[in-house]
Parts: sequence; structure tokens; C-alpha cells
Amino acid sequence: MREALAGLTVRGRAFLAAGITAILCAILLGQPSLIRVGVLVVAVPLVTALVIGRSRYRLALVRTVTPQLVTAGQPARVNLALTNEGRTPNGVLMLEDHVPYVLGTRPRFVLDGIGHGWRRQVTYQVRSDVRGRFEIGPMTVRVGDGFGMVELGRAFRMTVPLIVTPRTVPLPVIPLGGGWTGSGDNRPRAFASGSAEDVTVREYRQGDDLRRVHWRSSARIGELMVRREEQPWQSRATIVLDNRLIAHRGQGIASSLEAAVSAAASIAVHLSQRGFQVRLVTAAGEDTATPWHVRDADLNIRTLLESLAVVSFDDRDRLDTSWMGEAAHGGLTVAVLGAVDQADAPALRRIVHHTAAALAIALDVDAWSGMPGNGGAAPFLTRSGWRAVALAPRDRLEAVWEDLGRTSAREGVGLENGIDPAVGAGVGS
Amino acid sequence: MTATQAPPGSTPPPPSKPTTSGLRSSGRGTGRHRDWARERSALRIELRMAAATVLTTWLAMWSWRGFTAEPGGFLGPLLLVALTVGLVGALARWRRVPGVLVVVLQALIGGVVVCLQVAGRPYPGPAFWEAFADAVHDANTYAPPVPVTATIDVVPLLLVSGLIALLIVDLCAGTLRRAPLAGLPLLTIYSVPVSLLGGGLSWPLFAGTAAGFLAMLFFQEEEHLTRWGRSLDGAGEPVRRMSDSLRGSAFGIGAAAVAAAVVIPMAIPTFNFSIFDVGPGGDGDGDIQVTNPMADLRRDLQRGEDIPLLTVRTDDPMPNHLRISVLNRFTEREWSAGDRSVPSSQLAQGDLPALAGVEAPVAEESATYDYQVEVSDSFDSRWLPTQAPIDWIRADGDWRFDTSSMDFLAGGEDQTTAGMSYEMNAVRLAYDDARLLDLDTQPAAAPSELTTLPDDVSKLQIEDPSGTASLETLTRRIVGGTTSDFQAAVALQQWFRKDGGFTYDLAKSPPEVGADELQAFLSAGEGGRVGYCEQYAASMAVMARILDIPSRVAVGFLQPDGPDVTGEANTYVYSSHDLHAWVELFFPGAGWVLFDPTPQLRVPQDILPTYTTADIGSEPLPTGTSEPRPTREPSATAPAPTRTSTPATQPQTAEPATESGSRFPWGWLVGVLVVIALVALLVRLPHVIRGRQRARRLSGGPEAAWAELRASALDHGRTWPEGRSPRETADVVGGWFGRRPGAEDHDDNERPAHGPGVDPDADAALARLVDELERARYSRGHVVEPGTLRPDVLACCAALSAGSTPRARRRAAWVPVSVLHRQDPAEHQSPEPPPDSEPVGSNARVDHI
Repeated sequence: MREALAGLTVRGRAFLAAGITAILCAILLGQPSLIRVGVLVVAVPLVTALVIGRSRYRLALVRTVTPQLVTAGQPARVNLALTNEGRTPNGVLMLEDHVPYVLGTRPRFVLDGIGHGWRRQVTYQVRSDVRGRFEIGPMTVRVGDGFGMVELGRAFRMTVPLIVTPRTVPLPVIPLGGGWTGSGDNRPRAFASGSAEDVTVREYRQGDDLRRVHWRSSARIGELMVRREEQPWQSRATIVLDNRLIAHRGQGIASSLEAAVSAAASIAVHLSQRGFQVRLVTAAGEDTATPWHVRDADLNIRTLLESLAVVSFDDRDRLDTSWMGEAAHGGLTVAVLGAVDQADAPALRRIVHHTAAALAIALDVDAWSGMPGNGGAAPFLTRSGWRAVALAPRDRLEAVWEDLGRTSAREGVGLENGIDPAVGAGVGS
Repeated sequence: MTATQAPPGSTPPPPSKPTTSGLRSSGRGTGRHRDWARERSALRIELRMAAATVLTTWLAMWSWRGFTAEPGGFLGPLLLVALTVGLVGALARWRRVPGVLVVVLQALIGGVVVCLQVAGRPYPGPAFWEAFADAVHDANTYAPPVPVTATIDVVPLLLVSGLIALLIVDLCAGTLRRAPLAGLPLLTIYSVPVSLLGGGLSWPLFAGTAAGFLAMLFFQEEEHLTRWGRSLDGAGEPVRRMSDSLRGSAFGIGAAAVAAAVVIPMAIPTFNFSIFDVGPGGDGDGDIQVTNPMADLRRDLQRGEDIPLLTVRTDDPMPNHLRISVLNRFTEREWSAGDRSVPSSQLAQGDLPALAGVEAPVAEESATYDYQVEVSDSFDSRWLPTQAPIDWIRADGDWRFDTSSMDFLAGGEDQTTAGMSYEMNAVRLAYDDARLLDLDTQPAAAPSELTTLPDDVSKLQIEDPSGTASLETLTRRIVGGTTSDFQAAVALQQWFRKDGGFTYDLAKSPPEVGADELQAFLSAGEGGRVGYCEQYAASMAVMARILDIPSRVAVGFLQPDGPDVTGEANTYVYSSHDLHAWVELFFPGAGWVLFDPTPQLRVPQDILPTYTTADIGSEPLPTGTSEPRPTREPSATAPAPTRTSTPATQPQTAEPATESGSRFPWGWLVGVLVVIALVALLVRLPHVIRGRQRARRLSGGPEAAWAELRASALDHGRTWPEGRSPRETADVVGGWFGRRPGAEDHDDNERPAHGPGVDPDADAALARLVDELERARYSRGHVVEPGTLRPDVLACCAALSAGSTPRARRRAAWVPVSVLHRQDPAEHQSPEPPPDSEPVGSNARVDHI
């Protein structure tokens, strides 16, 4: 009852106040017929609160979102299974699922006269054109009455995340360079069993031969570890995404960061399909969720896309380079860069030296801010030793990617002929 | 996937509703009949709302019935107007006509209907305006109920007002979709007649109106709800209508509220602060207001300035005692005008009915005088000053008279005498003094209002030089030497004017004329027997009623300034200092006869009627000690034949009561005791309930014992840790335990030490309790004998109490809040059975509220 009184709506409160005033005035001025009006106006919200306050309902909600990971623009389905485990509520239940507005309108349902054991399933769709991680839910329940006097609000607590990954485009196969270009088709190859330093270990699993226990690692870690007999060579690729605020132009969904994220995602998917172990590095350094791991490529790319889904602007001035470590490790690096300046040159040069092949897609960020494009940082990068192409707002990524492949070919020719690489890299818009 | 279930039968179900359509409307191919169904549903909703609105408004207009003598004349046409307005509004809104246009359309078509009703033409021609202007004039002229005659008809005004009211209500409820807002115009419709006529709707009509208003609220809210979201039952269909359960609950709520509104007001007293006590606003503007004659009289007399109020041209040689009004009803507090019956047929236009109670010979021989009265602008009275009696009057405006009191009351609300002029014929009855003096009367000759006195007035103790006696005894002593009622009245007047030792003094007079002031005024001694006309008239009227003579107090003007002052022949001027009060007594055969008990200082002997100054007997002794005119002496063996035996016995019954001092208010005492008992009962009620709960729980198992501990903690103002395991809870609860008063007494400690270990016995008891509870909850087959935990619970509760501040202890004893807290039902339910196997995905979790 107290809860119900606290849940009086503005209308209910107004009725109460007006009624009390009417009664008092009627008593003081001796107008018994006005008392009736006052009593009526007071009684309606009070009786309603009494009735609604006695509602004892208990709803159970099971929420399912399939799939939980969707590409931007693809729909996901939310399935709600509602059960009334209590008594019939005295009022109307107004259910509203709190879906982020990006995903569409909030679904609202009116439940009314549901008895014990009532059970329904309902499905609705959500779709987002914006990447990101969205919490679907919680569902709020308001109990109203037939006169709009009382509204009791409650809410389920559960939310289900929905991750909307950036849009990707399939990319053509291009020669990527790097250390393993000999066979034309870059595929992971077994790496020969090497020295003791090369030994990689994993946890002991039931059935492992005891002779394979790597005692030194076991002692260090505190649990049994076994040697891995063979370690497949990994084709490793690093995708560097420059998400610094100063490197990008435009706002929201129209910013150049979105194009960069989308390009990075496409490249990641492409490389993953070509057998690379792909990790993501942003301006803040290596993404902890996507280090190089031996695991299923699908799982890997899924994590990477999830990371890309939530990438946002970074405030720092410089690219973090701590992820490169001490020694050069080879592998392929594909950088998706925005605007760069001289201050970035050391970091960029270090990446080139650090990796076997450094490819870059330089966004012509000025074109995103409405000014005429100037080829972005591509020439600069080419001079720094990158294989770089520019990407303008209207360019198709496939074409640019293909250009990147050609660049590499011409670059090699250019270098042999003593031509400045910047000339050869002058590809762009 | 989605539960597909047949939608409500009223609407044809869509052939296939793809569940993937989500929130977007789809099913374009399902065609027209769906649109038509939706349209039909929308039309139904509009019509329903409009019907509820206009019918409710129409019902509320039944309260206007009091305005006209023939309510059918406007209610019937108004129903037609209402239905028209409602229908037009519903159709226009259904066709989604803009709101402004809807109102305009309704006004136009409703106006046409009104014009047809009023003037027979569908447009407001000259005939219409003429009828309307006449109606406005009639409404201003006549007080409700306005009679319906060939020339008087207020129906056009009511129709137009009704149309406007309908438009406003329908605008709020229908076009703006704000049904609560429509309550304001409805309240206005309802309360205008309440304030003008003083009465409201009869309760069935009120209940109907209230139900209609609630229906409007419900319809609007239902519409709001159906638009708010979709139903889960119809696979995404919008909700067509609310379920019967909601309708039932709304109906129940509405019925309860209406019933409360009908019943409860009967139990609510009202204090009338407005009827006779509202004084005039400005005292300094020179206006003289007579609304409540008695209350205004004093103020006007005390005003320093003597303002001329009436100018009268008359051939009457003695135009004294010009009456304004009479006061019929005496309550303990005051004399008031009482009830008047002034139907619209009793207008102050022409001849008046024959004088009540006057014998034909007296009436025939009477002389009549012509009065032409001009009232100055500063005399603002709701009563018309007239001579008493009169037989003819012509006063413009809605002045009505009561056949019994024969005073003239303004019918219209704002109507006063200010600035008006009128004519009348005053009648001077030719009384034969000798015959008058023999007249007797009986109470039955007049309405009971004119003879009744409040209880105890006759028992008021009056100090008199002859000794303290009750008012009744004193009165009978005064009239002791008289042989008839008329003589008794004369004796009374003489007692006031001469024999009683009264002094006329306006300034020193008591402010009121209630029973207490009456006692003070009549008592001889310090401050007593001093007053002005009001006290004299009121006292004499009361004493006359004690003698069973019908009496009333008249208020009016005493004596005008004659031609010697005005300088014109036959012209008299009444001014504010002439205001006066006197007495009229009823004697069959003579009618209402004027007496004036105010002393010589104010009322000279020569303007009194001769019969009042007649010599009435040998012994007009004021003290009336023992002069035995047998007929008047209560203890006489042979009462006069005209008197009933009641007065004779009354003193005997009254005297012992007064002498034994048994005026102790027993009724009062009993009432106070009952109230005290009720209050005590109410105060102890929570305690009693709590005691019964405790007894029940103590005799129960571990859960009950645990609940008792919880309740006890709540009573002591502790916050019970909900949702924790018994052991965790016990850790918290143990911290509240204090040492129970035993060996060392530290009961009055403001902040008693508490915490675990302060009272090891209680801690052990708590541990046992928790152990039993856990066993009962979590082990199989553990049976605890009910009631065995009682000592442990009591020990814990006592320790809780010992660990609380005295304030918390008092609170626990007097206001045990746990009585109000309902146990959370979820807590003691057995764990919910998991929902039946459901095809839920990997990310599905069950969530409850």
C-alpha cells in the first residue's frame, strides 16, 4: 500500500490534492454537496492504490539474443519468454524492453489479465548500422490501473549484450610480401623442432605422456606442463589501427575512424581467411583480447571483430609502440592510418624495421572533413619504407587493396631501378 | 518461436503473421478488411468516448433543475443537443479532422439545434436574440426556480449555457483527450447551482454523474494503454481492448469510490460560516447593509454617523416601527431569521393575503395608510422594509414574501434595496384594548418554530432581588398577577420598561443574545440588566415563549424624523440610528401584536400602542413574591381553564433539578469516556495484534520462531538483513544483543552495551535457534516439536530488547512496526521450481521480478 501510494501518478496526486481541498472547503463553507465531489476525487486514487498495492505477481523472463555478434546492418533476433509464476495482477502490466535507441524502437507490450502459469514467447528484431556493444535490456515493468492513477515501476535486472561488428568487404588476394613469399601462396607451414628456447608448452591434459612433461616450466608455473612436440609455423599478421583523435576527421558514423575501423576489419577477416594469425594493435597498444594465440581462426577473428566493434577515439598524441618488444619478429604488418606528421615518423619507421612487410592504408582524412583530398599520408609513408596507398571516402576498399598489391610489385621494380619509392607509391584517389 | 495464438474473436486474424516482422507493421497483402476493421474499431472508441462525455455532462446538468420551475423544458432539448454534439465530435475525430475544426463543427451544428429549439429557425435570427435577452433578463430578475409563464422563460439561457458547457467538456475529454481535465467544467456545471440554490444533485444522479466521469477516465486510459504497446497474445497485434479482469477491477474501484462519495459525506459535519455571519466588507464606505438583521443592527447603531436611509411619504400620522424583518428561530447562540418559504408565486406585486389570525371585525375597521418609500443608495438590505401589517405592495424586482412572517426577501442573488422605491398600504388595526387584554393564546396557534426554545433556557438561573430562581420561575413570578396571556405579555413589557430595574445602554450591552448573555442580561447585580433593544426584545420573546405565547423578534426602524425635520409635509426620514428591535406576539383573533420592551430612554411612552401600557391589575409587583391571583399561581389548586396543566407541573419538576445542582453534564462525561476508551483501544491495538502474532509464532516451528525474532528486531528499529543465510543473519543479530537485566540492574542505560558475548546465554539460544532452522530448512526428515523453541526465542527477544535504547524499547512496546510489515512472500516460499524445459539459447538466463 505504501509502495502504491508512492507510485501515484501526477494525475493521482492531483486528484488527491484537489479532493482534499474540496472536502476542507466544503466543510468550512458548509456545502455538503461539494463534499461528495471531494470524497469521490479522493477515493478514486486511494482505492486504486489499495487495489494495485495488493497485486502479488511474479514474472519470470528468459531473454535470448541470436546471434550475439552481428555485422552492422544485419538483424539480430531477441527472444523473450515470459512466465507469470504468481497470481493474476490487479492492474495492467506495461512492459518495455530497454533497447538502445540505435537498435530501433523500444518494444512495448501490454499484459493484462494474465493468470498463474501464463506463458508467452515473443520475438523481435534489432538491427544497428553502427558498430558497438549494446546492452539489450533490462526490461521494465510498470503496473498501471484503469484510471491512470497509480503506476508502480519495477525492472528485471538482466541484460544481454549484442555486439555489432564493423561492416567488412571481401578483399581480393594480393601478394603480401613478408618472409614467406616464396611459394606464391602464403600458407602456414610447420616449424621445425628447434632448440630449447623454441619449446612451447601447454597445460597437462589427461592422456599426455608423462615423458613429455616439461619439468622446468612445471616448476615455474606450479602445475604440470607438457612440451608440444610440434609447433606449426604461424603466419602472423599485425593490424595497426590508428584511432587517435588527432589523426581523424569527422564525427560519429561519418568520421574517418569508422572507415578505418571498417577497413581494418575487412583486412583482418581477409588475412584470417588466408591463414594468418591476426592481432590488433591500436594507438593504445596491443589489444589484450587478441594476442597471437593458437586457436581456431574463426574464434580468433571473432574476438578481433569484437574488439574492433568497440574501438573509439583515443586521446593520446603518439602511437604506442611498446607492443613491438625488443627483437624484430618478422611477420606482416598492415597499418590503417589517419593523418600522420613528423612526430610519428620514428614510430612508423620502427614498425617498418620491426616487421618483415609493412603495408599501410593511409586515409585521406582531409577529404572526410569536406576539404579536397591530398593523398593523405601515403607519400610520406612510402618514403618511410612502407608500402602505402591512400583511401578516400568514395574509394572502394577492394580496389585500394588491389592497388596495394600492385604497389608492392612496382615498388620492387622501382627500387631495383633506383626510382624513389614515393613515386611508385603515388597511388591514391 | 513466437507464441501464435488466436487473436480476440472480434477482429479477423491476419492469415499469417510473420514473426520476424518485429515491430514494423507488415502484412500489406492482408488487405482492406483489416484497415476497415481498424477503422471500425477506431470509430467505436470515438463513439464510446463521446457518448460517455455528453451523457455525463447532461446528467450533471440535472443539477440545473432548480433554476426553472419546469426542468423538463430544458433537459429534453439539452439531451438532443448533447447527442448531436457528441455524434458530430466523434465522427469528426474519427475522420481525423483537426481539433480546432472539430470544435467549430460542433459549435455550428449544436448551435443550429439550439436555435431550432429556441426560435424555430436554424440560425440565430432576431427572434432568437430576443428570446435570449429575455431569458437573461428573467434570470437576473427572478430567483430560482424561475416560473415558466408565457412571458417568463429562462430555457434559452439554459440551452445556450448547456451547449457551451457541452462543447468545453467534449473539447477536454474528446478532442484534447484529457478526461481528467473535463472534471473541471463538470465540477463547474455541478457546483454553480450548489452555490446559487444551496442544494446539489440527489445522490442517484450524483452517482450517475460520477460513474460517467469515471467511465470517461477509464476509456481514455484504456485507449492510452492500447496505444502504448502491443499485446503479447495476438502475436504483435495492437491491443484491441483490455481484458475483463482489468475492466472488472476498474469497475470495482469506481463502484467503491462512488459508494464512498455517496455514503461518507453523511458522516462529515459541515460548519456553516457563511449564512448569517458574513459581515459586510467595508465599514467605512457609508453603506448600511442589512443581511442578517440582528447582527447588522448593532453595528449600524454604534456607527457614529447617522445616515439617512429611507424617505417615506405617508399619510400615516405615526409611521413608527417600520419593520425590516422578523427573527423566528432561537437557538442557544442567537436569534436568526429561520426558514422562509418564498415560492416564485409570492411576489411583492399587488394584494397580499388576508392577515393571519386577525378577526374579521378588527380587520374591517382598520385604517389603511399609503406609503411611498424611497431607499437611499447607502441602504443595502436583502429585506424590504415594510410596515406590519400591510395589505398591498408594489415593489419592482424579485421580492418575495413568506406568508407566515410577512416579511419581504430578495429573490435574486445580487438584489438589494439600494436605490429602489416602492409603494405599500399599511394597515392600522382597530384593536379594542379591553378585548385584547382578555385574549389568551396557545402554542398550537403558530408554527413550532415560533414557540420552541432550546432545552435548559427555562432553567437558566437568574439573580433577582427576590432571590435567585430559574428563568421560568422568574417569568411566572412577573406575570403572577395577570389573568390572561395578553395581560401577561403586557406585564412582561412593563417589567422590562419600568419594574425590573433595567437600564438602556448601547455601549455596555453584551455583544450577543445567546442563552448565556440572556442569563447575564436578566440577572440583577453587577453588570446585569443593562442592554439595548436587541437584548430587551430577545429576552422578552424568550420569556413569552416560556409562557407558551408564540413570539418573534422584529427588526426595523423605530421612529423617523418627521416633517419638522424634513420640512415637507407627510415626509419622514429613517436613518441608521433609528434601527431598533422589538417583539411580536401572536394572539388568535388579533394576529401578531407589537410589544416593545425597550425602556423609556429609547422608546418614549407615546409611541407605544395603547394596549401595551394598559393597567393590568392590582399587583404588578416586579418581584411577584406571593401575590396570589390564583389563576396565575402555579401552586394554585384551581388552574385557569384556559391553561393546560403542564405549566403547573413544570416548576415542580424543574425546581428540584436546579436545586440539587444536578446540571452536571452526564451526557458529556459519558461521551468523553467513550472517546477516551476508543482512543485507548486504538492505541493498544497494534500491541494486541503483535501479542497474538507472538503467541502464534512461539507455538510454531523453527520458521515461526525465526519470524518472531525478525519481527522483534524490526520492532526495535533494527534493519533485518534480508536475503541472507540464517547463520549470516545470526551474526548480525547477535551484535544487537545486550545483557538482560538480571543480577546488576542497568535498565535505564541510555545506550546499553550490546554485541556478541555480552549475554552468553542469549548467544547460545540464538545458536540453537539457527541450528534448528538450518536443520529444518536443509536437512531431510528433521522434525522439531512445535513450541520447543519458545524459551530460546524469548531469551533472544529479551536480549534484543536489553540491547536497545529505552526509546526503541518504548517503540517496540507501543508501536510495533512489524505488524505493518508484511513478510516478503518470496522469502518463505519454497524455492521456485525451475521453469519447465525451455528451448533457451546458451545466453539465456531466467530473471525474476
